[in-house]
Amino acid sequence: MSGRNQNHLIPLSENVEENIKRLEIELGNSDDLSIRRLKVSTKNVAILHIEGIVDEHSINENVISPIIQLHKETPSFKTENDIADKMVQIISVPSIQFILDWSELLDSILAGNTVILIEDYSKALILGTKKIQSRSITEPTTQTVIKGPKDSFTENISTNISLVRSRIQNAKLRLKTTKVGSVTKTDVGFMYIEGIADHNIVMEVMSRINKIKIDSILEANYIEEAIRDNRKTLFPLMQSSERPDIVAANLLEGKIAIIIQGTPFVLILPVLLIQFFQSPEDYYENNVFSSFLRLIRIGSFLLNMYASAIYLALITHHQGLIPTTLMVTLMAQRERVPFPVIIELLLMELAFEVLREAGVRMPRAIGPAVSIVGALILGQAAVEAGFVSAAIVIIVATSAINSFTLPNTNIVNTARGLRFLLIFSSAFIGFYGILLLTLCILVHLCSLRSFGVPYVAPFAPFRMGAQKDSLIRFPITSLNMTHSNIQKDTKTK
Amino acid sequence: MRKLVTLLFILLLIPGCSNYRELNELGLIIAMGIDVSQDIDDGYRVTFQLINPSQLSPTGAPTGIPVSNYTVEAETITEAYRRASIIIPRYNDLSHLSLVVISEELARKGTNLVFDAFERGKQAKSTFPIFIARGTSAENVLGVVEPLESNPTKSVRSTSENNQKMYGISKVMSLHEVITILSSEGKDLVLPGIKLNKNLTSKNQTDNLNNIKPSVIEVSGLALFNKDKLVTWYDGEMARNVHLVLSEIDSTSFTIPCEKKNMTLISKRMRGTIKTLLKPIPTLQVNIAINTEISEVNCNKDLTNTKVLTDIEEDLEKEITRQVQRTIQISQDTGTDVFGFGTKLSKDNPSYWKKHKKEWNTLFSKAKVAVNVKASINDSGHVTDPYEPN
Amino acid sequence: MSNERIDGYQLFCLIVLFLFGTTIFLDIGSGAKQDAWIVTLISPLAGLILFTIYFQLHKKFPTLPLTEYVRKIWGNFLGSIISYFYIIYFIYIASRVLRDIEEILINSAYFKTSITVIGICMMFTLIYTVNFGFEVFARVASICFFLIGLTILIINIMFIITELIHIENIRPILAEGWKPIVKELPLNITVPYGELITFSMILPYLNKQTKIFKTGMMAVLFAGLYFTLNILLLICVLGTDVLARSSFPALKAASFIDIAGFIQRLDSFVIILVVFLGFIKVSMFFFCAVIGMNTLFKIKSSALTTYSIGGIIFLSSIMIAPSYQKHLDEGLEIVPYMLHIPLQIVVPLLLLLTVLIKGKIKNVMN
Repeated sequence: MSGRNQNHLIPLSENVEENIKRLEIELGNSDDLSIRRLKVSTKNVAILHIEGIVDEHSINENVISPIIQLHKETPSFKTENDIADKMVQIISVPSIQFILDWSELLDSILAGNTVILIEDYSKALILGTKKIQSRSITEPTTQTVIKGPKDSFTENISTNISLVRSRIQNAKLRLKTTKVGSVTKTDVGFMYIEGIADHNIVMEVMSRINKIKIDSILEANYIEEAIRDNRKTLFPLMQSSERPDIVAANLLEGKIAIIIQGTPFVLILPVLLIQFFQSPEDYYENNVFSSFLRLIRIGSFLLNMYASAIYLALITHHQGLIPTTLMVTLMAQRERVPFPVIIELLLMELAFEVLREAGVRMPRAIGPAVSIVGALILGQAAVEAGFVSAAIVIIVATSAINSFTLPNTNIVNTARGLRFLLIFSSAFIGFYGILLLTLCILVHLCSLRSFGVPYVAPFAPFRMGAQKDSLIRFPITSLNMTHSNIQKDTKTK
Repeated sequence: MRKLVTLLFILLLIPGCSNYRELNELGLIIAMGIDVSQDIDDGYRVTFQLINPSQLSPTGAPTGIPVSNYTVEAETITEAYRRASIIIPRYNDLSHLSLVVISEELARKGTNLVFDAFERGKQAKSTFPIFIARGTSAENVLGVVEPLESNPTKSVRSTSENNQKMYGISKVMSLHEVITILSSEGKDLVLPGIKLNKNLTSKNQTDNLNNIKPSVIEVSGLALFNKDKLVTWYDGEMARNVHLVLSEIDSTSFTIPCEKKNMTLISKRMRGTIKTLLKPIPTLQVNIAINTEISEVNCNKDLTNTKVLTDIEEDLEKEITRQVQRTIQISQDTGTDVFGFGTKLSKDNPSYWKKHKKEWNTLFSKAKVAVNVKASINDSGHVTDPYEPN
Repeated sequence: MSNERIDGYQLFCLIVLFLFGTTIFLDIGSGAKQDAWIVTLISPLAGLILFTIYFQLHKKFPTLPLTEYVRKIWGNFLGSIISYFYIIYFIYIASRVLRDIEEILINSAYFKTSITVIGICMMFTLIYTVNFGFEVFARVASICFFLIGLTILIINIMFIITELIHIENIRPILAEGWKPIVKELPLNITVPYGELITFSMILPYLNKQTKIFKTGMMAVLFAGLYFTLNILLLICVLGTDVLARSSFPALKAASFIDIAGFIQRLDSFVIILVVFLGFIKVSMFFFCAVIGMNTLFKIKSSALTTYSIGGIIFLSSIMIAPSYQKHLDEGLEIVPYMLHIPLQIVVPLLLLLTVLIKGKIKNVMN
């Protein structure tokens, strides 16, 4: 535990065996600690690493065999320093470091490095042999497109960084890494492009990350919740994406990406509300068509939020607004339904949420079956039995289908939460309630900032130039792909 | 905590204070018939027609009549509406009221401020049409279900709308138009009349549905009002001509004699404008421009000859002029300015109008009338000359 | 409130929506019958003059709200009393506007709901908004501008396609001469243009001081032109007789729309406008009252002020008048002459004169 304290340096022992013993005690005689004892001239040398997180092949080929060779070729050395210098010459691994501190040694061996201890020598050699097992790059599963790149991030931070770097081969692309989480010591890297990204936001992000005080980071959301501006909001203040092309595009707009070891989701910030309706595909297709799709998505989002509430308001408060023929049909449907319409609606909404959750948890093979059974058969049976009216099934299904058009799942959850609020306000006082809640949502949205950038930026504050790529997309040649939304009007808290 | 208290506070307010109503607690009033009450002086006998939704379910064939009528007598319309709750089992909702029928008897007595309840009321809309039940009671008119349109309210509306499109006797007059005319100066009201083409033969309503010659709603003329009192009726062509002058007609047909037989022209576009001139007594001028096509010829005429066509055009112009003059003559005789010459005069010459608006009815009756019709024939259909039976 | 960022565009939206307020639902200038549009065409000119007065005062004290510079100009004692009056005035007008909203809603769609419920719901929204500060509110207004514009556009297109517009209704022009127009003018100047006095409470807190005058002028003219268009439309649709008799002509006109028996009862659609515009107008007065209160009594945290002023506005909106007729009567007979004209025109004018004379004297002394 004293290892945490960087002010008090704990020197290594000059006795190799003593160091090994101490390491074994610290690691609780862990079985995956591998120790290889060698002799170079007269000195004892020990090579230590933890199995599984190192490149064992490379250690054998590039570390152990050259040392054995060295022992054979050069029988004597004047000092331990000479041995160390010689070793640096003959060992062929990407990086070699000398350290003096015990806690540093512990951290680096846990990170997958190999340690070489030399008798009577006060430093240890740290060899960069880290190799973390990871799956290969696959197609994205949550953010799929028809046209466009098909690769996605993996759980390995260096793979992820390489995916981004390969897209932006520019000297201005900056990467800073740090370790977060007092127990997990997870690697967290953040990338930005110098000169495009707002310097103040970069500094702000850096300081917020350094201030994080939690034990573990297992997924991007741990970081997101720790550093976002406003804790009391349903709206996502950061975007997470598993697509390298999205990250690259955002970096080019002056955003900052936070890449975290152990998760394929990369955080992008600061974020604007409108970004959640933009799909990378918008830029891979003809701009007229993709503008149309963007409007469809925004419409879907609104429908998803408002459809049930508006239906409820019409049915219970504003019957006069329904055309008479439709009214008669609706009345005929509801004639034998035993529940009040609000109960009926809430039941159906909940049933749908349950179905959605069940579909996610089910093994892949039977997932679709659950939704078919649930949606088709249950819905049909409920209508025929007269438990619910067909109109309710239509409304709930419509609002559900609409939620699938959104390219980003963060915002779907927001819509879900708000939908229920809207339903309650609508049941209470009809359109007036919906309108007032809408006003409250607007006020809330306008008060939100993502790292100092107003959340509803190109609309409020209104900026004409940014409209070229907000609700609709102009041709790429006319888009001055910069960062106008970011740099102006930032107010860092 | 503070938010919780606020929320609780809101929830406490919910019961009782809101407009919340379930659909299956509603009784939808779609039509009202207003007659003169037999028992109450200056009272009304009001018939409410309610939808019976279970008969109109999209699945399953209807087994009965889709509407029910409830009749109540009271001093005012609103009183009747409230009193109707003694027989109507559901909350009677006026927001879908889409037809009001007033009996001729009441119209002759004077509608007075019958419409005030509808205009003042917050619930009913103001776009529903108003009809006069000609020679019968509103209750009777609303009491017929016919096979093609099993909903009497819809039947009245659609028959009338259809006639407006095809011939032009009837015109749907919505409440707000009626009130605008009644409250404006220099224009009198006309309202479309409806009646049953024959009385019901059987007491059992559903028998009418199975009858091949059912008794149905018939559009029948236009009622002329002097202020709020019905004075006379226009029938057939005369009613059509009113709308022709007012330019409120979609399409119509004219039949003119031709070599002892007849031919019919149907109109495609027409425009009627009115003018008032003061020289020095008011002169009323009506200009009608009309485009027609020949639709049926029962005599032999060389329709390829443009001279003949010009002759037909002249005949048509004469015929329309004669008809319109007669129509205006009747209007002048009864002193009801249904064409709005007075309104026109008040716009064109406000100072004269201000002086003479009290005596307008007599001025109108004595005014000279000039009718100019410009008719043209655009085409003669798929053939030129009629076939000759040999 | 010290560092609010509001750009020219947001200020424009705010002024326009504030002027629209509840005014576009009421029959402005209908006493002049078919010439009402001339009233609405002339009155913005007076509005420009008033705005100039307010702006000149603001230029003399660019960092102080009205309630503060009153004390600078007329001394602490008299100034404090006048600013106290202004705060009460803002609260009173806020509750009057709130009452208007409540009445319109009760009349259009909520005939069975109690006025209290309508008021409480609106007040919660208002307090929520005011707590976020003026900057957020200005942004909301700029978004509302689009929504409201869209709604107005849709309704007006409906009027055109349903052929409800009878142009002959506006004739004859000036049949009664200029007399009825002149008679209608003062009322139409005080509401809404005189109410721009609220902006003299807000302007010191804006960061860009340069474009205010130009933006304000444009907004006033824009609103004036729209009022003219609006009243022309109402006259054309309703005719002068019905217009004069309706409590809410805009609702009445919208209720005439009937597209194929399918789209009907658009008066319920108009409540979108009522809620949004009313919200913005009451908020403005609410903000002014809060700012005034906080500066006059040197209160640091404004949350308590907001809650208490909100409560007062809500309660007085209900108790202000026993019936809507009475409420209207007060609005037409008493308020303009007892409150509007003194506080909107006389006091600012006197203030400006005092400042100018003081400046002259100083010049002479030097």
